[in-house]
Amino acid sequence: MHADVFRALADPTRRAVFERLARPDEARQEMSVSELRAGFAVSQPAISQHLAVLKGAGLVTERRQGRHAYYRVAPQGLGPLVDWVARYRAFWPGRIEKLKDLLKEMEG
Amino acid sequence: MSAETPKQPNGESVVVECELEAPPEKVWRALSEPALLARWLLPTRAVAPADGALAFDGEAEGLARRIDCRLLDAEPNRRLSYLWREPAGESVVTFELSDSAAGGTWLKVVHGGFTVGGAQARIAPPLPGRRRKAANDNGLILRCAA
Repeated sequence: MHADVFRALADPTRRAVFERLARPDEARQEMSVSELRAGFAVSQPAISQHLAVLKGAGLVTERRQGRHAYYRVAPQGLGPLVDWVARYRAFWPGRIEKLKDLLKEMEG
Repeated sequence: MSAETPKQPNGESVVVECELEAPPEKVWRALSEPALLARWLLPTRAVAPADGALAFDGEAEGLARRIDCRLLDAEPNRRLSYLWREPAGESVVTFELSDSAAGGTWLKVVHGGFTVGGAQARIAPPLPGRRRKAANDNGLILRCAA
């Protein structure tokens, strides 16, 4: 289903990379691999690998310009996480009704 | 008066409150006894986890086929908190009970703390005052729990 998104974000470094991209300074929406790498104790190929997984999960989009690649957050990338919470928003009111029914059936 | 209003106070939890026509002691049993939980919350799976947790089957409700539910915190007749673990990640379901004016129970259900990947990231609203353009249309971001 949406397992890719959850799997992609389960890795701490990958999540941190995504997080950095999701909160660009001011209005900047796009970052290069080296900008994204700054501050992480991992190699550039490793960062590129993480970005490839994020891209595969639909969380980021890539723009290539010559030898450089730039990344930005995909607008609907976090949709599965939103859906996750939304399912419970729909779930609980109905459960409360069933709880009321049960309380009527219970003794004492 | 009963009011069941799903609310979204901060973008990361689901809150439902209502008045129940039963005393807190009785509501407590329905929220804490596995056999009673299975009658209103979700069906329990045949094979229970070894550690005394409950395993629910959420498939019929559009949820995960297996939800492991483990008691986190309990204050009898007042407060009950469950860790809610499913393949997508973990969250916390808390029931708060108080006496209602009509002699029943005021119940507040808070389902929050949605986390992915071993409780290290959570869905959170943008920080107040932070300018954010359309990084994602839904306004949710991940916040790493330091």
